[in-house]
Amino acid sequence: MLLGRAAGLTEEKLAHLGDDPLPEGLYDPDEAAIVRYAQRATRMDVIDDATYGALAEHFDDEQIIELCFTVGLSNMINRFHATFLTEVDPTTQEALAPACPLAYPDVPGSSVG
Amino acid sequence: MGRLPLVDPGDEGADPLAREVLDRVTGTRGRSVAPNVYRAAANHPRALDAMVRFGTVVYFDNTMSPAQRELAYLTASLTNDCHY
Repeated sequence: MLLGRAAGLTEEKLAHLGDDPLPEGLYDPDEAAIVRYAQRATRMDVIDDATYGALAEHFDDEQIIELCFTVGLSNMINRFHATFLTEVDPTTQEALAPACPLAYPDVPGSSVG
Repeated sequence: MGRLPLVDPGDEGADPLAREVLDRVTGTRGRSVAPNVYRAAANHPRALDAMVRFGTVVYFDNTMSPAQRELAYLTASLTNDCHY
């Protein structure tokens, strides 16, 4: 979230990343293409011509590869956290705590060891 | 409670490669302390090194705008319900 805000994404844009369909007009066309692709790629849905075509309207092959690998990297890190229950460092926690636009899920109740 | 010890780059006894990569991360990301994901992954220094190099090419230093870059990363994390 911190990087999202630092990148200039509004709280409203951050809060609706999980919506499917996306709110009409909230995201610029290139942004909407990225969000829809990232949702589908993460869910391992088929990347149909419409989803890919929307990306290709705004991005070249190299950029689509970057988007694909960025989504993949995020998925990799997500799995790392799910496996090792990595705790959010205090610096990030403090900055995020007052207002995270997205509800925080419960940390899995597993015991360690 | 995480399942991995967090490597401290200031720890003289820590693996030299792990320390070097963690210092590189804090240096390039403008942070005082490397985020915990790096310090946890530092338990496998060569994997951390490769991850940081790959992430730098395809994500941190890619050709997208910051907003485009973060939309891709954040949407994936949210879709996986991962709020690290």
